[in-house]
Amino acid sequence: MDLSLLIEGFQEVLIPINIIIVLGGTLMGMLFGAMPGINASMGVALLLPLTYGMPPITALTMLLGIYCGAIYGGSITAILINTPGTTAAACTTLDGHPLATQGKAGKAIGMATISSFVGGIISIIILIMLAPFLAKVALKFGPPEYFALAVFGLSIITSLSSGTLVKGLIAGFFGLMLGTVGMDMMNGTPRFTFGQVSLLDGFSFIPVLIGLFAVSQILINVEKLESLDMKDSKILGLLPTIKELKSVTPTILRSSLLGSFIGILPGAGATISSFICYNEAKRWSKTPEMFGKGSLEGIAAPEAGNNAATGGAMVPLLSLGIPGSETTAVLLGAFMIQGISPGPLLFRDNIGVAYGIFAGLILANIAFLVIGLFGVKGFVKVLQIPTRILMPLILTLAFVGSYSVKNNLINVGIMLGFGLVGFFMKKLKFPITPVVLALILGPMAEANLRRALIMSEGNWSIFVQRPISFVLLIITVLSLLYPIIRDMIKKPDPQA
Amino acid sequence: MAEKILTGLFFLFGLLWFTMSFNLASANFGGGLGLGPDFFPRLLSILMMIFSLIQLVRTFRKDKEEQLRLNIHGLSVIIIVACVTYLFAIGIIGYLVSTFLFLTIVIFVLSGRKSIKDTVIALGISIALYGVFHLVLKVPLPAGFLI
Repeated sequence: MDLSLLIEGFQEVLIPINIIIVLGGTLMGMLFGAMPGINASMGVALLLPLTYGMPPITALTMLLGIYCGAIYGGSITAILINTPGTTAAACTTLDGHPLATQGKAGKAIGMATISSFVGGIISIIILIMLAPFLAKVALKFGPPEYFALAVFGLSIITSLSSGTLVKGLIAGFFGLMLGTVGMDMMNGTPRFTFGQVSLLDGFSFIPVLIGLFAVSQILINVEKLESLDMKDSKILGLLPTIKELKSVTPTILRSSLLGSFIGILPGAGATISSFICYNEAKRWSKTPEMFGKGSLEGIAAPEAGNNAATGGAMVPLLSLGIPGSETTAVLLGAFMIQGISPGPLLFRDNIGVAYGIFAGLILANIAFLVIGLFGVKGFVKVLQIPTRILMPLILTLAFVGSYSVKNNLINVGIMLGFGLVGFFMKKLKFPITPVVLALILGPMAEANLRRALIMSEGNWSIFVQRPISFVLLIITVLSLLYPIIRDMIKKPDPQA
Repeated sequence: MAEKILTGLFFLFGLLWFTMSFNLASANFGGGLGLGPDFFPRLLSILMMIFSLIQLVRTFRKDKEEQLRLNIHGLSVIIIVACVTYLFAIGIIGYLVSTFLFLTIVIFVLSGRKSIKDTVIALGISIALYGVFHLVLKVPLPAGFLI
């Protein structure tokens, strides 16, 4: 960890306008995270146009604020109305809601806030220690290694689509094929553009993403409007006491470390982390019988775990340029719009930006700590925006976001088209995330495959002769085979 | 049925990419080293066709009760129509006016009643969006003959 660089990063980030923006971004992220039916990746994608006119560091801190705020915000509705705002907060309902019904909602939210903060900060420290080191290793990577890395990233699809493996693979190939649209990066041949000039650069990532995630979800949400409205809920009870905090400290620390490492693994994001941390906390607890009845440990563990996964997920994103989850895939798209491509070169050529991102992450965590501890009563009032107004508002944001990527309405049409595709895919149980991951990783895989084969003069053995790419490909094969073997051993549930 | 149609469409998508990839082969003037622009799309399309066929066979084997049914809610259809109309309206009458109309209509449809309060809310939101994006953040918005 290079402290002087981190301090420089802070000097860059800590200007009044950035502080206001990161607070605003975190608040909006919390709102989107807290509202059932809108998740963190939708929040980042929809609020992206707000950042177009901003200088890169300001834009990045805002996006990171939205990201961290959304993962934390899910806990508030989980506790108050027993509906997790994001899937990452699903575990928090187990003990959060019982506490709220006992009139201790304030204590529960306070506990969630503090654990989320500690989890976030610890994961950022791990990120700051690991990412520059990994990036240094990755600087030695050539096309074969990058090809192997991209294929490894793609193999996440199998673990993302457990139970519907074939459908997940179809979704993945759909995304990969969409990624081939546009001018060939090696010799400029237009591919699958159907004569459309606007498709020469390929599908813009942001409109596709907004369509697949946000528009499709709204089309599904309008079917159950009433159930999404926030009931008026009062926050009773005080913050957790020092004694209570002390008793959960080991749980928070353990979950933070565990969550950070789970976050680093591709395919295992905040949701999986919160479940694992909850189970581990129960296993280690002196009072496991309290779990599910309003145990403070039962809130601290998943909340520290899911926010720790945010920092962990930034490790492969920043150092290798590989998104390990849906939300980091969206963040990658957002970074690229700002002209920043995460990866080893970021640490060599743009180290200031990298440390600015670290500082921005820390600031975002402080922002939700402050809002969560002191402003949560006002926050809950804002949450009561009725769904009938919120859904159309999100649609208009989707329009602005897709239009302003390249200032043309064709992208808005593409966004709506993918909204429909996503709607039908969700209805018929095809997973969406593989499409997005494949759309990002596909071009990277193809370009590096071809570059590697030019290097080796057409000899495919280059991928197994280079040790790093060989190891990566072996891991890929293992991770591809694992769910297939697991599905074979475990008979499919007849009700699924 | 719906599941079979969507899977079938994915298969046709693979078939389309497969046939179109042959038009790309002649364009490989890279000097013979490495792969042409046709290799990767063709590989993907073949795999796509294989997996969608597997899925298709699986879906046909399922019992009638297990089949996923596509229930589309009337409101979803109205929203889709409203969005498409909005898309064309923006380019003609401009962002502010069309956004106001779109919001008003969709809020009316979703709440199942017309109210002056909701119209005012829609007007407020459209002006706020226009103000934030166009005036403060200078994000370009589509223009028409009105604003």
